[in-house]
Amino acid sequence: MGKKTIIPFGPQHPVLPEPLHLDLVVEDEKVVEAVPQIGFVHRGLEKLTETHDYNQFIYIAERICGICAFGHSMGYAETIESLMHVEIPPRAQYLRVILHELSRMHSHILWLGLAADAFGYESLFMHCWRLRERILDIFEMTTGGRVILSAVVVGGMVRDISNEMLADVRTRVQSIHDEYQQICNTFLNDSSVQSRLVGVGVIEHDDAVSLGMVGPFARASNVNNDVRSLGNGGYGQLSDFQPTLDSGCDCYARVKVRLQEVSQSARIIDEMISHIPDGDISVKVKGSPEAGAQAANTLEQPRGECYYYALGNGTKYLDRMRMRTPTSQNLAGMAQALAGCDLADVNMIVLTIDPCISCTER
Amino acid sequence: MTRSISFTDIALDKLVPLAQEKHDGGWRCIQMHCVTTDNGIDLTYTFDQDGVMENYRVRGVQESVDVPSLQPFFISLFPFENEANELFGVNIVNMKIDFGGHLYALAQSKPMTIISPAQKAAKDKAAKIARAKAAKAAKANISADGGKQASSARSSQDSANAAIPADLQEKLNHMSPEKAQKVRDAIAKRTEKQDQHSSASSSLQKSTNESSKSTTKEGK
Repeated sequence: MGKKTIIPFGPQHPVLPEPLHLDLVVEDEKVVEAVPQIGFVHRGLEKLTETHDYNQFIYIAERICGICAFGHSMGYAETIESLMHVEIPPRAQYLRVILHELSRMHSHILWLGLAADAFGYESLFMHCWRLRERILDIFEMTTGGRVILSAVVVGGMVRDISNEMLADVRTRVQSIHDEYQQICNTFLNDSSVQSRLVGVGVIEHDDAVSLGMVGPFARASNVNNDVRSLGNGGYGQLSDFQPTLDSGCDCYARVKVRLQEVSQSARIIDEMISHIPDGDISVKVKGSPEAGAQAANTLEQPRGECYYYALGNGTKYLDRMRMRTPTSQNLAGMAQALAGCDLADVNMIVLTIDPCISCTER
Repeated sequence: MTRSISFTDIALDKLVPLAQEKHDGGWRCIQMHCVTTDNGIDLTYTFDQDGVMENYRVRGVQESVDVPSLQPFFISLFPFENEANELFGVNIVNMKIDFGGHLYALAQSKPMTIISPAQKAAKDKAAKIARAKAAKAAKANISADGGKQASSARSSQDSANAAIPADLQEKLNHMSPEKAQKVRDAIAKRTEKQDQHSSASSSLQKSTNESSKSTTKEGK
């Protein structure tokens, strides 16, 4: 038996997009145990409900994380609308889904670039981020923002996207998707990529269920869990939605699931734009949540299920706003995947949960 | 499939049996969070299965009370239980993964339990306004019902007074109000009984007359 050594991984590491510390207990190049440590970007955002009313807090929610910005604003708004029994117009629901799926495409393509960079495929990383830039251009054209969109308010949307602009969006998304197919082929068929991903970081289906994993990380272990299946909000208008599953249970399966979800999002955007109704984009929301009123909501963000909870106290300020993000749910799974892996595979395994530490710590 | 969401209060001693039940039933534990209230910390645990989301709330947990960790059943709760321990001061015991109070680098202990005076004043004001509204609504309901009851009471009182002879009325005027009211009520009851008896006998007489008429017609 070799000697055990503790190797610190992070909080600053070239492969990590955000600060995360792992104490890797290593024995002869094998990781025996991994103990995660977070808390480097904790900002106490949930406490800001004391000083920001429920309309203002949406701008805090979308700044929890840059990648998940639109998702958080949408999830927060839906929670408050549920709290105050507000029904938003159908057109607003469609617009939210369109922008959310664009956000998912952007997030997954960004992650694919990071994954390529992690196993040294620099040109693939560049191509992924070049494609991502075209999605950011769509955001800028439609909402005025590239990363923080500020497009959602409690009651609907801030501004409409004209039907002509939506047609342009559909054309652009189709063009992006056509070019994206070449990236897919490289990820799926390149031998150097496969050698770094296949059989690495395996988490079997039963372990994934017991660890409570969510999102593409879980669906790559064949866990059928996707909040979009529940048909809440605009997702209820989809003709047929099936979660993207894979039974590979390894890093390669997680890459495959995200690759396929980008294509799925492109199809959803196409369908929503085809069927978007005309009409208003928001309703006036007056008053305050009742004292003691509470609401819970879930939303399938790019990284998985995100849980929102709001509690009113009769004033325009919320008594409590809680956001449970998918990465915090997946940390246990990450620790499990790291146990028994090679030291050289730690980068890829950590990256394949698509960690968003800003979301985890708020 | 649509999402079904429920909120249920449970006692602290029911928490572990609940977790055992949910774990054995294949439920997912989505999250755990805390809310600061005037009576202590409320803990909410959320479980999900096939689109059914159940939130269970333990109310008014004090800092001195030991809260059992549910990590043995749901290891994914470890960030939330450590967060509850650091941000809210909840004393969760027997955690499998315990950061020992060092999950976050906090400048202040239990920051989420601190309620600013401005926020407390706003909440108290809102509560006062809500109480006033509720009282006003209740009073409006009472006066609407009371008006109906008062008018019916007055009409019955008038009919009862009409049945009282003048000499007795004179005596009642010199009695105490309570005693006089008792006498009036007794007279009203007697009058009502007499009215019922007279209406019953008149209806009997009417039916007897009708039967005799029909018999006379048949006899013809």
